[in-house]
Amino acid sequence: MKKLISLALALLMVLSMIPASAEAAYTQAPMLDGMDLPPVAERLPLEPMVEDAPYLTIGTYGGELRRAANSGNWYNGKPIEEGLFRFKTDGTVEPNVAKGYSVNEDYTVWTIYLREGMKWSDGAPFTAEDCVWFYNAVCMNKVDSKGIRACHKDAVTGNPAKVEKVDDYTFTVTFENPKYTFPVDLTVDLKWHYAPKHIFEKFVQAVIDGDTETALAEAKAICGVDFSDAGKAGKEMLYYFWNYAGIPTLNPYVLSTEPGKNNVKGEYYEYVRNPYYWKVDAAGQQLPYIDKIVCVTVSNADQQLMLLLDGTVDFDTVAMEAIPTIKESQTAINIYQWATTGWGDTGTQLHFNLNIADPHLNALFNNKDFRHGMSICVDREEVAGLYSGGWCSPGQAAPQPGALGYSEEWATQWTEYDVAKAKELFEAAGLVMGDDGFYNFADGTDLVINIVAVADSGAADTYKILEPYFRAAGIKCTFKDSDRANIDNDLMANAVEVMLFPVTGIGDISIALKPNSMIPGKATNVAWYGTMDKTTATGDLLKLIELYDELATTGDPARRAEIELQMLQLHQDNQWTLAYVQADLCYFAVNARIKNFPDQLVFSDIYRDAGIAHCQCWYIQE
Amino acid sequence: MGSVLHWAWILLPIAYAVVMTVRLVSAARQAGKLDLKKVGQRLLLIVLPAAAICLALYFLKGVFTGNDIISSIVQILAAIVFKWILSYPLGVVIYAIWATVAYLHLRHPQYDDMFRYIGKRLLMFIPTIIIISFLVFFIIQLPPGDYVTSYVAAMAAEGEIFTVEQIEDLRVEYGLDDPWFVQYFNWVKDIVTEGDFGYSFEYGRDVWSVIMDRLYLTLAVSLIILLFQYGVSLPIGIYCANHQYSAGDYIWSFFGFIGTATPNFLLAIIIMYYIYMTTGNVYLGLFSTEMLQNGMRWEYVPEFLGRCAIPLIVIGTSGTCGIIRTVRAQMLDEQARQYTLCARAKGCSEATITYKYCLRAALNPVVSGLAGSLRTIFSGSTVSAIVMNLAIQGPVLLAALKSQDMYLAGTTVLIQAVLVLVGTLLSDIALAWLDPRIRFAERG
Repeated sequence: MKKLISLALALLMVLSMIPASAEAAYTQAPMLDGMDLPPVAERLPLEPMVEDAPYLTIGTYGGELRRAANSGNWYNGKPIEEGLFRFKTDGTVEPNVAKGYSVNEDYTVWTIYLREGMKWSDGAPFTAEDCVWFYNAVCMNKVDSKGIRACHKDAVTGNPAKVEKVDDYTFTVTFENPKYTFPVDLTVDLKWHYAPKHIFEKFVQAVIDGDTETALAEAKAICGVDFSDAGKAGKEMLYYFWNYAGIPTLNPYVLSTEPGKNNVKGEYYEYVRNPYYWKVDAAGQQLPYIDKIVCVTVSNADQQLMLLLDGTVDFDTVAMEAIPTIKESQTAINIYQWATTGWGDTGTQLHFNLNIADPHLNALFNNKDFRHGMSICVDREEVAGLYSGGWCSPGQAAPQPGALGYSEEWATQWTEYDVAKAKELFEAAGLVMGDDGFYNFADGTDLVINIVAVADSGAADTYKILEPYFRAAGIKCTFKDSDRANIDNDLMANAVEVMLFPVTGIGDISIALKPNSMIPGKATNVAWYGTMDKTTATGDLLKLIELYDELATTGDPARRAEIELQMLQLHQDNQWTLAYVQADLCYFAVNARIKNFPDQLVFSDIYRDAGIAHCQCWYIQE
Repeated sequence: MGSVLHWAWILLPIAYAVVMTVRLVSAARQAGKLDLKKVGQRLLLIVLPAAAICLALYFLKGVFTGNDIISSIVQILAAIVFKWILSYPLGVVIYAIWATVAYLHLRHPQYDDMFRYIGKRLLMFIPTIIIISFLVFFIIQLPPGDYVTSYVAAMAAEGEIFTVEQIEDLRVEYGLDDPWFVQYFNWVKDIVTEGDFGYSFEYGRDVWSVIMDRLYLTLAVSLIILLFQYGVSLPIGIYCANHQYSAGDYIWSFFGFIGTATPNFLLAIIIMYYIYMTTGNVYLGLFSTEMLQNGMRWEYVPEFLGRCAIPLIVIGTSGTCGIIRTVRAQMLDEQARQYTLCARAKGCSEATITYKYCLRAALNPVVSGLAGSLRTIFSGSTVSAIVMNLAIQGPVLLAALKSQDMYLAGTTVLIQAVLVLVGTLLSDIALAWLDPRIRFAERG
């Protein structure tokens, strides 16, 4: 039945393409006119992907998208990344590089269909071989340093899947046990699932054979960089591939190969249009519209803002404090508000390490009454005013309106200001008021809450606002901020007791897809669970982990939805982390000359941050 | 042409070494210092043990090839002996330089003290640099965590997730799983044996190529600033001394003090703000996007000079006050001396008195101040460079120190240390040349 449906779907897709291909009147950017290239129709796949979201208008070619970066990697990568599938704004995935997919009845064999005639940015054909080889040679041998991702691991045994080529445009991914959500997992974990075999075959073989000399020589020949060792070369060229000139990609823009413009660690670099890009607009114009992305390197976010104001940079995310300045600037800049996914403002999140080694503190932090008391001893109205100058409302560490699990009840849970009740709760948690006006443990030892934070994060200011409330409620606190690397080290060593403005705040787009900040054991730098995992968790925390594990083997969508809600319910019941102010929005400042920038989306890593704004569809109108 | 150069490179050192040997021997004979018996004794005393050590090293070199400290030390010593001293043409060049110095020493006995002094200073370089490099490495790794921690933190900030296993893999990949002193000796070993200063984790490239990337611009910016500082402050200092307590004296001193008293980065922000408010443009960095895109063209020169003016004023003015005040005070001091009075009484022109006599004496502290300048040229003005987004060395060093990019930071600081040493030596020599009194003092 499934096969029939997918066949019918594929047929429908093919049929829907007929008018477009019958027109066959694809056009290209004037920039490409003079170049020695095959005609545009030959460069596009037989069925190019059509970018026709309702908000898009038909654009015109040309111009430069100007950016200022203070860190190369993902800042450049995410906006131009092309996964095999991609997320739609509603949180489901759609085929992207792939044309479609189907699955057998027991969800063990996933078949991925590619676009016939699709080409790499150097003109070489892109086929199933590139996907299959990537998995079997690169991932299996960890050449890209990441190895087999969770999406390719069996839900029960954890064994890697089998990836096999069917024909040039079809390949299968086979699991021992049902893998219910492979396309979504793939989009979250691995994203691309391909690499240009015709470029990397020799290099990868040399790495696998342990022939460092050949590998390094190959790497030098591919991207002109003298890498120090083969592992590093593999990671850089196959994982951070968009950062190196000479590596063909499927992205709308490829790093320039011209000297002086091809070094992402240099002062200036360019990403130029991929002449073989495989997407068109509704009018049959090959995308992208804008000729190139040009990037200057700056030292910090303030300089990015300055260049935005002066009109030499076209878009960036900005802090809310910067908005009045932007509104006053002489350059016409639009502000787009996107939703964020944090549970309460990260800057006011307070994480108690529920896995702390000290038995006194461990018992206290795991006591719900204590956390309740710490939450209600603070006057959130006043804190929100002081913290954000009135931009943000009081809040709690809870999903935001519109997100799964949101409820008025949770959003306002433990948010009333009641010092007397807080003191009762502290006493219920076993604390005893000492002579000095501060609470002690029942055995008379001093209770001191040692809060740490990352230096320069702004946490020091938040602490100044919060500390008087804690003191007034009889809780003695200390505060220490230090370097980010220091904090990460302490987190990995389980040495952080309490953290304000955690490096990884709780909350993400979905507890099922991106569990790292919400399920213990899923990341190495989350303050509230520290080094806790399945073996050390107890009670509701263990239940939470078990529920998450159950997801992997659950195919029934209703049951999956139920599990997600149950996990969120556990979070609501326990309120393991606190926040005092509602999460801020994400603000994009975009020069008014840039058109087709979408409003009201969600800023999330699995949506590739600005990537979901699809920069290939932007165009410039002065 | 290429082959000519090749042969010249091979033959010239030999020819020069032979010539210098002959001259050295004849000079020694003239000075009556050629006692063949003594020379023979010395040769035996030095050559035999040296040969024994070389043989031992040659043997040990093959045995200790591991990754531990002892192996590293053996390899370092072996490299010094076999790759430097007993190699061609480096060994011959080293010998020729020594022969030249020895010859000059014999020929100019009146400068005996100078030679000894400089020789001693040069020999002191070696332990100093060893100690500095060791301390540098020790201090860089002192804070908890290492490059992998900061790398993972930076990537995590952009959404990438690492497992504990991946982090351990990274440590092995970067060689950070060894204790720091093992890393140190490996680093030194690679410098001595291969001239390889290690690679920058951050840039994923050879440290040397990272430094070279920014070297020319750094040198250009720093030298221009240095010239600006001295070019502006020397005449002002002289003017102020010659017109003490005049309106000009007060005005220039006022500006000088403002320049020194205002933190550079603040001045930079103020100037940038002012430019933005008046022109609507932000002049960040020395090059506009167009310049970076199209390379330098004549039509960009005015804008480039305009962009240069900001760092010039900001960084340049910070040092001027010190120089102005020093020169002014020294000049006033000299002008009150008897010899000035005498010169004036003898009818010397004011210009001669000022420039030939007073200024030369007054420059003394200014020249000794030059010692630190070499280091500043290489990597100074870090904070201002960050504020103004100048692509020079300082910010790279700061970033490397923050992210514990060991080899990049280590090499940069090591170069700075060498430059300070060389700078101090040069300024001492310049001082001795400038001021005969120092030469006499040296001789005691």
